[in-house]
Amino acid sequence: MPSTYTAINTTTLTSATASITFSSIPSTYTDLVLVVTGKIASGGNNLGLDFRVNGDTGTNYSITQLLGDSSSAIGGQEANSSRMNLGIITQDYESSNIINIMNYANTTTYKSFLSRGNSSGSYVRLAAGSWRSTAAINSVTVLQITGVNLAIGTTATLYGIKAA
Amino acid sequence: MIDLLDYTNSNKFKTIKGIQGVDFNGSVGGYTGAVNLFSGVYKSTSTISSIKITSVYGNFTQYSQVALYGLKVAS
Repeated sequence: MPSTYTAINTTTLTSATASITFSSIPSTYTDLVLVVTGKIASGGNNLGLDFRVNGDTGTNYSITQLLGDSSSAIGGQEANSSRMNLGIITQDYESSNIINIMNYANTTTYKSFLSRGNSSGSYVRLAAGSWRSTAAINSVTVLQITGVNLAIGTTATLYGIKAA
Repeated sequence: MIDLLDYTNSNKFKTIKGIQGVDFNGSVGGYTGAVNLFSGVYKSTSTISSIKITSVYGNFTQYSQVALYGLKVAS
């Protein structure tokens, strides 16, 4: 990552785990960038990588997405969801996901997300997400909503970037 | 998010690439969300020294935020 990025925390799984959470995120940055690479321990090659913030399991999330494989692309939406399906994760191929979280510490606007997720064995996803809360984001959780575990070796890193 | 590549180079046209998106939790006023991948070119060899963001639909609302970051390769 460029030197303007400050790694706040990073986790590499040494055992299959249901979720990764970064908590106590400092409010001192302008934006956040979350990078997740890895696989799931089971479940096949057609799963989304899901995100929640501040431990909120309510139906306060939504996304608009473009999803494509080697032959076609489709657009879609998920409204009033209990998580944001922003990424891609598969069992047999490494996936890469980058999620930008804009203006995360402000307390006056809903929070917006932009993501790119891909796995060479399945899909690529471009998505815009929304969390309908004005609360400052102080934790981020990565999970797979069907309950399958993230595989050993999966890495998540949270960066803070700060405007001049 | 827009990347301006090699913005201080004075020998070539400037290129940009970006992604953008908006989500309405369904639709608002008949408008659904959208995501967009795009690229562009500024056909000038001048160094980029300023950027102006405008809206053809009027004013930006209160609490809109813009951040400009510089990225530097390792020395």
